[in-house]
Amino acid sequence: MHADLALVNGRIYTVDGARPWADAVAVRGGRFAAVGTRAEIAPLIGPTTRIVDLGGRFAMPGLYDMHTHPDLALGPTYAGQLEVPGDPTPADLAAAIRGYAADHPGDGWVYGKQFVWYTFRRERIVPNREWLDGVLADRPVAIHDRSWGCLLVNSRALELAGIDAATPDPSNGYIERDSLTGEPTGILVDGAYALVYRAMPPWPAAALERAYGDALHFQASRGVVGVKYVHVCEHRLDALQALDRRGRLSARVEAAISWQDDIFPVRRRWELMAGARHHYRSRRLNANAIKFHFDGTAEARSSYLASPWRDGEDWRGHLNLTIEHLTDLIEQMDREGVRVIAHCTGDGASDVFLDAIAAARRRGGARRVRHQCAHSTLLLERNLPRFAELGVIAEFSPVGWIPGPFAYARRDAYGEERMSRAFDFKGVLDAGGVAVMGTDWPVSPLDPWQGFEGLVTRRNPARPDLPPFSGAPIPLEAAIRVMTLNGAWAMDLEQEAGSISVGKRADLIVLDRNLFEVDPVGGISGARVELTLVDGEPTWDAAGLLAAHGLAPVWPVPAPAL
Amino acid sequence: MTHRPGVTVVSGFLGAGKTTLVNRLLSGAGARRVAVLVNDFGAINVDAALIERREAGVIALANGCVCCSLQADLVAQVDAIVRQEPPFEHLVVEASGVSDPGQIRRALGYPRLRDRLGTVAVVTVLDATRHRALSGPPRELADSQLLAADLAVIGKADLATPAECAALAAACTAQGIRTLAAADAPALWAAVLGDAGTQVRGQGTVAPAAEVFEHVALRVPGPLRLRALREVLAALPAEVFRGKGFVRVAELPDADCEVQVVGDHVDLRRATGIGPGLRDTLVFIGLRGRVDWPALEARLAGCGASADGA
Repeated sequence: MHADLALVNGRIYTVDGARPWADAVAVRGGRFAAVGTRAEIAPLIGPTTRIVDLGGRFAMPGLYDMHTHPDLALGPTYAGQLEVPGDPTPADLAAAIRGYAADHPGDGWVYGKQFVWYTFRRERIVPNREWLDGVLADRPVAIHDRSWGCLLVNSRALELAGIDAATPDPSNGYIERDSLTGEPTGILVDGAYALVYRAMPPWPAAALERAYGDALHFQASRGVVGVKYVHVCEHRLDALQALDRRGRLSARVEAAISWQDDIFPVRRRWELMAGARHHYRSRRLNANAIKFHFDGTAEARSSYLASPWRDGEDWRGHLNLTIEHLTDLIEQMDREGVRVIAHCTGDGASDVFLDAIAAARRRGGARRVRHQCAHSTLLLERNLPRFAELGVIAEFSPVGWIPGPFAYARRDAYGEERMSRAFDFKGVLDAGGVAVMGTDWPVSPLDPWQGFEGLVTRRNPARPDLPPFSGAPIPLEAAIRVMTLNGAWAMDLEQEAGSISVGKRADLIVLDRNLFEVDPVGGISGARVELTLVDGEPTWDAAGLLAAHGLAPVWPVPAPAL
Repeated sequence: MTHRPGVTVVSGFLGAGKTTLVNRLLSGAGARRVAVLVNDFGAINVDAALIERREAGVIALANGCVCCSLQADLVAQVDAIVRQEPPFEHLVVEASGVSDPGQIRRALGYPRLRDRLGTVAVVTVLDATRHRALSGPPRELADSQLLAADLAVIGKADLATPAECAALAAACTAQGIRTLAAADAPALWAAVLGDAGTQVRGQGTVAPAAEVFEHVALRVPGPLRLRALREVLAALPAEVFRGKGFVRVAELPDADCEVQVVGDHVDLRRATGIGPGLRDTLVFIGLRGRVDWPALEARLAGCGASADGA
């Protein structure tokens, strides 16, 4: 039987040790049927085979972004929430709230941003529930302040959220209270928002679909073929499934069900865990993972460290789950084949996570699921070999080590000693472990090529004057492997995808440059993706390579600017 | 009664004179044990003879004061400071020139700190020479810092004409912000802590606080209606900078209510104990000869539960 598609006259880097370079590939039924020279694939070319001349272009397997949040990045805007930009006066804000309520009749929430403290002060008005009740009392209202540090809610919102004087403060924020009566003032600080989020309806399905769709479109334009959307609920899974059914799931997607309700509630968590997640399963989509925040962040000094944050103090940061909870959970998830993705920024958090996996394995002896240590910002040296021993994925966010304000802020928080062993990507690889990258968008940009370049350079292409950031770079070949085959391994797809090998899924990208022939600083991140193939079908075709043969890509040019 | 150290957050735009203000507070601390958290260690003017020990990020002074460089996690740092023995009487936190002091105030409102700290007040320093000339985003930031202030202080007054200082102070007062024009150390401490008679260490020809301010103790027999009390305290004369004391309110039948007023900031709390002779009394500090105290006393009396129709 003949190939459907042949790509010829390319410089194809396969990430297959048996044959690192090829000139041509033949694709049949969505898989690579032949990889080699033009002569070697010739027997598969028949009258119906579309032959695409790559004109000497460089090609390689598609990229894997193992940690992103399109819903959180785009959902609020797409959900049509109230947006009052700039520095609205209290009167402006009141008018906007009433206007939004008039445009959206009913008894639903008025939710959005933003209020600004100083415009209230200027008019000697205290932004509190009484003021907001005066604007709109019969519907719940919740407005963020500009810095996203506070949520201002009215009495109806407090009532629906069940917040009163007796409600305890969450561990990561607080309910501002009247200093005498303890009654909530209507200002909720930091993590206390979640108390109100819980009472709100989910974002509209259309907003979630558009958020994931735009992200997939952008990711296809940047050569991404495998993604993990970490933190999903039933509504997010519905949105992903809707895209899948419309043929718009242009990458292999692992969706990790949120284990906590700290960002949004997951009302059907137990049904999903018990098996309802399989209703979403397809060739492209799975929900066989969970995600939670095991510790905090460097910025808030809530990362859980193996030693106190500062000498002479006892503050080591904070774990959000007990060790017993985690161990029991891993034992169960090992049995059920569900990946546990744990946000671990501190070296203490990853240490406990690895310990819990080891303890669960000693107890259970069940199948080995590849659990994922998300961020892995700080690791203890003795833990480097344990990623290989326990089969744990070490996921990193390389933008954190691209020199610039974001990286320096992290360095200031950790101090020099810790920083000297931060982002030890190479340490994990050298010890035989599998390390992968995640953009963690919107924490850093969705474009994976910046982090890809960061693996090799540890420099900032926009700021060549800055010295390389701490940590050791890895060679280009190793970085390509990380971005491709390691990602496939992290999705249990390494037998199916991740390299250009006969029998594997035909995922491939064509670039405007040969990565082995450019200055890596700026040369990798500046690469243009001309074609992205997933399962042998174009998801992105900027150069019209397949369009010329009547094959339309999933997504049109241009991609959304995200 | 357990002492809860009050906190002064010193805010102000880049170069406005925050460090000068912090230095003044430190030099005028007298016998008070004060902890100062600053951005730039080097700029703090500490007499070398007073330094007892110096470690990474901390300078300890012989009089018990300490000076720390400000860390990223303010909450953890303040938490550590308030746990120290012997306790500090007061904390001074210098905000970065481009930060929102309101965020610092909210960070200090976390429950694990809230109940260990006294009143948190924001003092914003304005550059007498430049504030009114700022424009664009710097002006917006400086204005937002001013509007987060409980008390404004004119900085670099010695580099501006008295007329310029007066005009700036008038502009602030017009926006409803209490403003101290000539801020020498005793005046600052009087306004911040409510203390009088502070001695100035070192040289200087500054006026003693007593020449600027007067202290008045007003009898306020309770029980008072809480809402009425709040309204009166929120509308104190602009020449009143500080108030404190203990009153009884009807809504709090089982405890007294501790009142702390710093500039525009009114803090009412359930009292954990009462100093001798302070019950039913509010002590105010205002500009000498400029406040109609009997009128204020009458307004407070009008808050009484028996007083009708207020």
